[in-house]
Amino acid sequence: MRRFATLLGFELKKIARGRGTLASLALCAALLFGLTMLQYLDVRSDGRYARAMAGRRVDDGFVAEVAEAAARAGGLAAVPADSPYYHAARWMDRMLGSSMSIPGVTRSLPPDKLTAGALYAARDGIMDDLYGFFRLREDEKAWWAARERNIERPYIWVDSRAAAGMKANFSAVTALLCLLAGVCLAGTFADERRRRTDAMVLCARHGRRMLWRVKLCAGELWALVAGAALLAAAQLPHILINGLRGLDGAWQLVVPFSAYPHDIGTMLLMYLGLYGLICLLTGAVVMALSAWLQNTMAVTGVVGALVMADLFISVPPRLRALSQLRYLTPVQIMVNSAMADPRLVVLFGRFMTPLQIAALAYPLATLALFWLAGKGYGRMR
Amino acid sequence: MILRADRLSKQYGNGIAVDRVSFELREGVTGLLGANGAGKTTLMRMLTGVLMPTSGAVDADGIPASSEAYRALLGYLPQDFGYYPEFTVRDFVMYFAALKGLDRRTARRRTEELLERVGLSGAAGRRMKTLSGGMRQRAGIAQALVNDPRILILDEPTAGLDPGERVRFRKLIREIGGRSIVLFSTHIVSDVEHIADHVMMMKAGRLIWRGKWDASNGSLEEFYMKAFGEDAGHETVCDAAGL
Repeated sequence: MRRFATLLGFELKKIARGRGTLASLALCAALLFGLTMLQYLDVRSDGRYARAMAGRRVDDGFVAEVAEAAARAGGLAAVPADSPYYHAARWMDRMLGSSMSIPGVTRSLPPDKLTAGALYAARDGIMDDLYGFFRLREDEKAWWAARERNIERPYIWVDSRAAAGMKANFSAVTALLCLLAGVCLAGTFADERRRRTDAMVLCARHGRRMLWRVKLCAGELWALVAGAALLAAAQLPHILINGLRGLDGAWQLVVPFSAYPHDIGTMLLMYLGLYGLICLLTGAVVMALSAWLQNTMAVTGVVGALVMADLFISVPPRLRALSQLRYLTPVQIMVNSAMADPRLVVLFGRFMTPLQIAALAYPLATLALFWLAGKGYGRMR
Repeated sequence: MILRADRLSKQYGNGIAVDRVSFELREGVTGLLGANGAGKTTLMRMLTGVLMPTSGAVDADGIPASSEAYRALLGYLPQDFGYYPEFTVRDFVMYFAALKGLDRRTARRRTEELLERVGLSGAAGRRMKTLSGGMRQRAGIAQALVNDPRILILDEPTAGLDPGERVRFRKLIREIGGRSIVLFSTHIVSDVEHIADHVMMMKAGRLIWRGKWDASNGSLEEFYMKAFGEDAGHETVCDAAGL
């Protein structure tokens, strides 16, 4: 164990002191911090109002106040940032599907027709459209309907600005983490050959199986630490500026078209856990590529291409299995802040949500990649 | 201890780098001579277990080269080896000490001892990337010796060493040869004459001569030149050696 720890220290030193490792990490963290701060420079809203309204039911009275403000401003989206109803108006606008990228699901509801009943009915209608878009079967719809019944209505308004910002940031952090890992971990195995240290390492007593384990462990530790640093850089401004309030509020105040019957705090924890698994998976992908390709530049290039593909390739939902797999990729599963992928997978005779499947698939994929990295490392002989 | 190579061959495509080479080595220093491309490095890499032979086997007292127990006996300095630029000289040797299974205290003691022996104790805190070629070569020698190996394989160990360092290196190798099997390859015939108890010569992947060099046979350099002349084959070599 002590020997493992000693070697781990050396391997971490190799990664941390690698060319540009710390500089790239600092740059990425600064970029995320800057992007988050820019959101606040762009729109300066008064948080006092969001806080003051906390605890109120989103019922007819609440909706009528917001509708009045919307009527004065010329629409929900036009309510100015200095209005007490700015945050509620923006959320209600999203409840009507304004931020949906899927054509034809938006509901148009003029302020004078805006009531709590109409708002919730519009959401239900959009959810039905989404279920149709994702080609959900009747049993899947029934499963979600049962979950939906557990969500208390009317929702209780909370100040969820920090949580919403954090949820929206997860995808950018994940994409950047993947790219950073592609740069900093690409040499884990490949550099031994490039530097011509492979022969000395491979003929040492612990240069094979133990070093393979140590390298994987060091890479994963680095991925977790870098992941934590990036996440902190992106999320801390939200917490520091808005305060981490409203964690007991309904998740639908953050993601309107989600049927997960959990509060905001639970869902953020689930995303945090998933992000941790993504850090490990990303590290494993890069290290397996490093062991197989034996070329640092090639590894970085392949990882970059994979991230681009994850960000930009779309698969139509009619290709159900492929499209469902596509939505399970690390960046994609974190992407959408307006809705959640409602497609289910039957496993061990019960339905599992995409988040549950990802939580199960990512560790399994990570272990498979460890094994593949071992095979690739064995090929160095 | 006996290091045994049994009909070792390595084939790359249609070319044969090492062709059915067999020998046994015991404690002492053996010099491996051969022109460029003779197969010395390939043979040494197979002896270290870094390269899988196409056919044949290597073992030390019956311990196969592919085993961890064999690697525990081994010290290896490859030709034109690399380094970790971000490591200090001390880190570099300590890292290989850890890889070779030494506990931290022993690793530290051996590292300081060896850095002193190879004349690098003054540069122990310097980064590897700031060292001259000769200093790096000495750091490489230190890493090969750090586990006090029973089998030491050195591929062109004197390359880049200045005359003073070479004398010091010869002394060190001779000392280690008293208790370990040392096989080293070189182009410098005088190194072999000064250090080696036994000589092996390779040409075109084959072992063309091996034995104890006797000064009464004449100069090894002359013999070597004859052996590696244009038309020299196995018989020519034996004739040249008066064997």
